[in-house]
Parts: sequence; C-alpha cells; structure tokens
Amino acid sequence: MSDLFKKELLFKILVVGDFGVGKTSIIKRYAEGTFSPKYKMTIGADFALKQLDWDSETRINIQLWDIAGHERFGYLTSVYYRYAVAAAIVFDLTRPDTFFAVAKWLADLRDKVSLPVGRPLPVIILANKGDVAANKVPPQIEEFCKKNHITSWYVTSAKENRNIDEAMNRVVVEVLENQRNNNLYNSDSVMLAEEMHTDKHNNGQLCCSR
Amino acid sequence: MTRQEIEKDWEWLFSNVCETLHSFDKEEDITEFVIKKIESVMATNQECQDFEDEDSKSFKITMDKFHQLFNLPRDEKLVNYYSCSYWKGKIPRQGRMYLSVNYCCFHAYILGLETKICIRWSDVIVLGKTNSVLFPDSIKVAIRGKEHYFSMFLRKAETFNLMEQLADLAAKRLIDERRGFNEDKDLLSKLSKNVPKKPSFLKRDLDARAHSEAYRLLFRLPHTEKLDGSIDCTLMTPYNKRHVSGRLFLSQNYICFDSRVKGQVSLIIPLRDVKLVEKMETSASNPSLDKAIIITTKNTIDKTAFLFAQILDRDFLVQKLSELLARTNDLIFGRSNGGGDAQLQTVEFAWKCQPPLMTLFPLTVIPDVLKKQKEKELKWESHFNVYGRGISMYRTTDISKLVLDGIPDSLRMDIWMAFSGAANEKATHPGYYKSLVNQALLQQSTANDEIERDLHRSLPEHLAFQNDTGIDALRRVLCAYALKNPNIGYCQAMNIVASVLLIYCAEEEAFWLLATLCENLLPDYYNTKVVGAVVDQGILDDLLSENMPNLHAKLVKLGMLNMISLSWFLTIFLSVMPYESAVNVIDCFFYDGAKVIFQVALMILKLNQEELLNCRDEGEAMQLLADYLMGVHNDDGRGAIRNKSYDDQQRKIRVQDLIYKAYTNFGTISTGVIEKFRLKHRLKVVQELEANFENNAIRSVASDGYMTSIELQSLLNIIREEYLSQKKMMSEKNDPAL
Repeated sequence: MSDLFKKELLFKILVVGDFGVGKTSIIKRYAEGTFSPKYKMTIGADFALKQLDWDSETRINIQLWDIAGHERFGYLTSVYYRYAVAAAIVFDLTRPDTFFAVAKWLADLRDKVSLPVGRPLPVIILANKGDVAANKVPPQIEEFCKKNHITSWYVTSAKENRNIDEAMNRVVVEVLENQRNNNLYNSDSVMLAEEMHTDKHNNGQLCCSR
Repeated sequence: MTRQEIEKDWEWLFSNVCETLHSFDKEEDITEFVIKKIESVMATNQECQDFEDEDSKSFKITMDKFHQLFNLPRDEKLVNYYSCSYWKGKIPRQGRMYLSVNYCCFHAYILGLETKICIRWSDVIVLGKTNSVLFPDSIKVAIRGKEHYFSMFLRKAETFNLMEQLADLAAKRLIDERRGFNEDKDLLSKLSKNVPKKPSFLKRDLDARAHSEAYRLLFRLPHTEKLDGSIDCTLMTPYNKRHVSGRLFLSQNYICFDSRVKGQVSLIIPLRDVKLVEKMETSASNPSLDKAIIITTKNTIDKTAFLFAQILDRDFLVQKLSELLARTNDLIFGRSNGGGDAQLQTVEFAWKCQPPLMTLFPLTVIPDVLKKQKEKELKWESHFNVYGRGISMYRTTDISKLVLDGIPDSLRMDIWMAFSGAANEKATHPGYYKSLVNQALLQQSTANDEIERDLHRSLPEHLAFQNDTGIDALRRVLCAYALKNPNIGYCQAMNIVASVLLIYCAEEEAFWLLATLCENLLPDYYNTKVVGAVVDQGILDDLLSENMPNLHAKLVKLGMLNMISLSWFLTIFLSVMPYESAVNVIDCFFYDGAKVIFQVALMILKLNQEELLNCRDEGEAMQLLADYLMGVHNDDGRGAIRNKSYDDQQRKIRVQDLIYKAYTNFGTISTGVIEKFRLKHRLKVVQELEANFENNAIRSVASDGYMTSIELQSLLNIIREEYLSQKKMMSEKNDPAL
C-alpha cells in the first residue's frame, strides 16, 4: 500500500464515534480547512486525503476514513477497517451518552483491527464541540484512557478549529513510532497487507489482542 | 340461501342462545354476546368444511407416514412428496423426498438399509442445480458444513421451484420474526374454474403465492396484492386503432393487461376507479369485437373506457369482476370511516400538509433549464393526449423513452405516484397520514429521537431544509412512517430519500412514496440489519464477476465493492450524485423497479473500468468513484446551490447518457433475474448473519475459560434447535388464520 522506501508514507486513519458527533466536520476541517454547520450525513463511509510534509524528507499522505455511526450499519463497517494504522474516536461534549459509547467503539476497533505482532491500534479520543461545552468534559475520561492504554485525548472544536491539527499530529507521531518498531520485525508493509487479508478468512481469530 | 334455511338457523339461535340472554343486564352486552356467538359458530362450521376440502385421503396417509418416519409433530404440514434418489457417497439410494413447511426430508429403505435425512429449511445456505461427474443432474442442498445431493427426479423443475420457495419463505421468516406462515384460506372459498387437482392444499397455496409474486413484479403492485386469475383476450388500443392480444389479470384491487409481445403495451386499472363493466353486443360484422367487454372508469378529467375482446369465458370474467367490485366499494367506505374516527380520538396539531417544497422555495431561474423543462412538459402533455394520463394510461415503449430522458419537475409527483402504485395506497387510506402524524408527534420514541438528529443533515444544500417549513415536513413524514411500520422504524438513508421526495412531491404523496419504496421496491432494506441492501450488494458482486471479471477481481483485491455500494443502494444514488441527477435514476426506478439500480451501478463501474484497474489502493479507487459520481450532471434539471468545491466538480457525464448506456449495456438484467438472485443471496446472507452472531457470542464467552469453543458451539446448537421449534409454535399460535 505505501511506499516506505521513498519516504512517502500513506496512513489510513479511521474516524469513528456515534452519529452526529461531528466526525465529518472534523475531517473537513482538517483536510480542507473549512467548516459548515450543515454537512450531509455519511452513509457507509466517506473519506478525505491530506498531505502532510512531516519533515524535510518525509511526506505523509493521510487517508481519513469517515465511518458512519448508525448502528444498523455497524456490523458492515469492518470492511472499512482493513489496513488502518490508527483511529480517532469522537464524542460530543453536549451529549453525555456519546462518551459512554466511546468504550463500545474502542472495543469494536480493538476487536477488528490489530497491527502485526499483536500491537494494539493507536487510538486518540476527541471531545468535540468544545466551542459550546468545553466545561462539560466527563471527569472519568482520564481514568478511562489510562485503563485502556490511550495516551492522549483532546477537547476539539471543528467550528473554531481548536486542537484538530494538534490531535492529528499526535496520531501521526504514534503511528510513526509504531512503524519504527515494526520495521525491526518486518520491513515490507505489503506483506502485512497480504497477511491481514488471509486472516480475514479465519473469522478474525488473530484479532484477539485484548 | 332460501327462506327455509334462514328460518331454520333462526330457530337454532332462538332455542340455543335466547335462554342465556336473561343473565345480562345491559343491552350492549347482549348484542355483543350474540355477535360473538354467531361468529364462533360460523368459524367452527368453516373449519369443518376446510378439513373436508383441503386434502385428498391418499395425501393424508402419506402425511401420517411422514410424521412417523421423521418423528415430527403432527402440525408440521407436508406440502408435497417426490420420488428421487439421494447420493450417499457414490451410490444413489432410491427413495422419496418429502417437502414440508419447515423441513426437507428424504427416506429410503432398500435391502434392509435405511437412509433418513431431515434438513430444516432455515439451515439451508445454498440450494442449487448442479451437474457434475460425481453427481449428475442433481439438486444440491447445503447446510453449514454439509452438502446433500438428490437426483433422478421425475419433475425436477417443479421440485426445485417448490424447494426454492420453501427455503425462501424460511429465510424471510428469519429476517422478519413476526412474519409467520399463514395459509391462505381465501383460496378455499375462491370461485375458480379449470384448476387442475393438486396433491395438497398447501401446494396449491404455494403455487398461488408464486403466481401472485410474479404478477406483482410484472405490474409493480403492493405486496399484499393477490392474483385471482388470468385470461387471454385482446385490448383495443385507441392510439393506433388495433386489437393487441395478450393476457388480462385480475386481483383484489386491480385489473391489469400485458401484451403477448413484450413491451408492446401494458395497462393497470385500479378497481376503485372502475365505474361500469358492460358486455358488448356481439356484432356479426366485426369479428374482432366478439365477446367483448367495456370497462368505464370514473376518471373525471376525460371519461375513459377500455375495450377488451375475444374473451373466451366472458360470463365468468364479468361475474368475477362484479364480485370484486362489490368488495372494493365496501372496503373504501369502511376505511374512510375508520380514518375519520381515528382523527376524532387524537389531538389535533396545528400543521398542514406542505405542497412540493420546490414550489415554496423556488431556485433562481436559469433560462436554459427553464426552456428545457417547458419542452419536456410539452412532450409529456402530447403523450398524455394520445395514451391517456394517470395510472391507467396505455404504457408502451414510447413512455419508456420519455422516462429514460427524465420526467419534468412539475410532473414528477403524479408520474411517480402512478408508476409506483403509491397513488392507490393514498386513495384507499384517506385521512390515514394525518392521524398517523398526530399520533407520532405525541409520542416519545427512539425512532423520533434519531430522526430529530438527522433532520438537518438530510439535504442541507437546499433552501427548503435550512428552514422550519421543510424540516417540519420531513420530521412528520419520517415519524409517521416509523409509527406505521415499527419493523423498520427509522433507518438512516430514509431521511435522504424522504427529503428529495419532499422537494418534488406534496407531503402526503411523499409519505406514500416512501412507504411503497420501503415495502415493495426495496424489501428489507431499512430493517435493523439492512439485510435487503446486503443481499443486493451480493447480487452486484455476482453480476460484476459475470460481466467484468477483471474488474471484479481487482475490486475484490481492494476489498471495496461493499464499501461503495452500500450508499448506492440505500439512497438510490441520492447521497453520492448531485440530487438533481439522481432523481432521473429514481424516475426509472419507480417506472421499472429495483433492477435499474443494478444496471446503473454496473455502468458506472464499466465506464471507470480502466482507471479502477490502475488504482493502487482502495482510497484512490474510492476517490475516483466519488469524483466521478459527483460529476454526473443534469443540464435539464436544476439543483440547489452548493458549496464552492461542489460547483468546481468536473462534469463527467450527462445523467441521461449514463442511464441510456446502462439500459443498452445491461438490458438483460430484468426484474425476474434480480428476483432469482435475491432468493439465492437471501439464504446466504441470513445464514452468514446467524453464523456471525453465534461466533461473536462464542468468542465473547469462551474467554472466560469455563468451556471450550467446541462445547459452546454444541450448546448453542441445542439452544437454537429449541428456540426455533418454540418460535414455530408461537407463530402458529398467534396465527389468526389457523
């Protein structure tokens, strides 16, 4: 999938969370620098590209996959999870129940995607709509992250462009770290792709990294 | 009934019922009791008759044997049995196949060797005809982990069709738990002629179902419509003054006609529109008018009469027609009364049905577009002048051409209503929408909450939905439908479809179109597991591998066919194309049925074949298709103003060209073909869902370490067995027909 040797990387990053939490807004803000209060809803999945010149010799192409949050499609979304290297789980600060759903999304991700050599997928949490309810951050979030080995979470606002770039940079750092470690084991990412493909037939037996 | 009979019954009532009436105080109670009593007496009488008429003696003997052999409960109904052989290893065993409502069984007893097989229909994953060296000319029945082969049938086609039908019914029951199997007792009392004797009543019932299904598909009628019968005749076509031979079909609510030459002409007359049926005097001078009838409709604009001739059994047809007409009039009267009552009981909210939102929120006029719309309107008007307008217009290839080119905005509502059959639903349910809305708005429900969240993200680019007028109308339509059909409730994507319907159609019309779409055109699409859409995704996969094997292989490798097609199916391209282009696909969809979606989907892939084959990853391919679809433009229509990036989209193809190419390239994909495919995939998808569900359950429990996965699997199998037989009993208990 990506071309590691020419220092041009391709990262597939999933953006998940309950419906209406602002996944599309965050992605549009990050990839296109725009915000509109009226995005059309996503059916299935949508995606956007962002090119990031990370340092003088690395260019990163980020594929952001916007995955529909409606539960009726939930069991169909695993096809979109293939080859993902990281994920952002979004919840809506104005709707507490969307925070409780974060655990469900995390379990889903950990269940369906895992990196080779059993590493868990790097995940960050985005507490969105920080422009309206920045003071409503659920107190449990710190403990939740610690318990689930999530290194960072951010209060974001797609509307006011708050913390989005910072959060995405953090994800990229984690992915790069992961890749560096992976390279010790396996330098060919195409191989990895093949492996994951064949494992799909075993009903995801491999994916029990919990 | 004679006077004598009536008096006899009255005497019985007098001596048996009147005595007990003294124990009641109130007059209402007495009335109620008497009514109930008479009803129950009638029911028992009916039952006695049924048992006599249903099945022949020899069939009953076989049924007993069947129950004994396979140790099945007596209420397990045998449909038919066939002689055939079963391949046990390389040796065929001659015996008998028994097909019942829930099981496919086989029994053989030769030279002291007994073979007994009992397969539950709801376990069948694959059912197919095969022909291999090992199993020549066989029917294959596969369940999880096992395959069975049967061959040497006397009537293989008949047997296979019946097996398919039973397996499909079982799959549908698994999708929709409430859908029990109801025998159609109406068949018993049906006035019929020349019906060949069938081995069992159930077989007759199932055959009738299959015929009704085909009939409904042919004329795109509501899923409740039952075919009564059909007869050869000719139809006089006034536009060219000819007599076209074909077949006339009759069901509870419709008279339909289809020409023998496919596509020449078809006609649908709702019975509620029929004013008069007359026999025409036979004139010796004109033999083509022999044995003719004239059906006059209540059409107020221009009085229309349809002339059918050469009806061999004219008297019978007329008798049948008057019988059905009498029933239709009762029905409409009864329903409209019911609607009125419901309104009185609920709180009246201050709202009114909105007209098409495009009339309230007109877009800025583009002279070119306006001119094209006017031209189209003229073309359609002159078509109406020749072929009639509304549901009962003569449908010829001429109208197909007009539809393919796109219906003008101003006529969309009426044409959609007529073609989809929604017009009939609306006409037979006066006041229903209003009372549904009033009830729905009072309610608190998850569906309502979910709808609320999605209202502003349905068609945000249109002015109508940046305004309470549009949003309120959308809320009413969706909430009312969620209440009407709790099986579906609300599923995302319905909001997108409904919002576009509201642009072109008045509110109540939009509601009935949505209902028709959910229930007839896209069955099971929006239920809790979107099973129908998954089934159709599987079909697209098959069709693609058949038509473009290279591209299919590539997309499988990228793992993306299912990613792209979900939104195509669930929103009929509305969420991926500019809506003013996608509505042209919807024009064809209401006219020609769901097969259009497949044709257009395949054409889109074909047109992008080269580029897709060169894509390096699924992201690139997704982007390619997304850009292409947003570039499908419609110069004859006009969409709402969108954001800048949208208007910068490249113009890739005219939607009219796309549709035309889809029809010419994939013309062989007919509704019949799609239905066959749906049957096959439904079995597979339902089984996969069950298997997935079980695997997940086992995985989450197995981590406890108390039991191994294998132990859990066998435990689950036992529970499933019990659960299914329980469910079967429950559904039969609840079944009002039994």
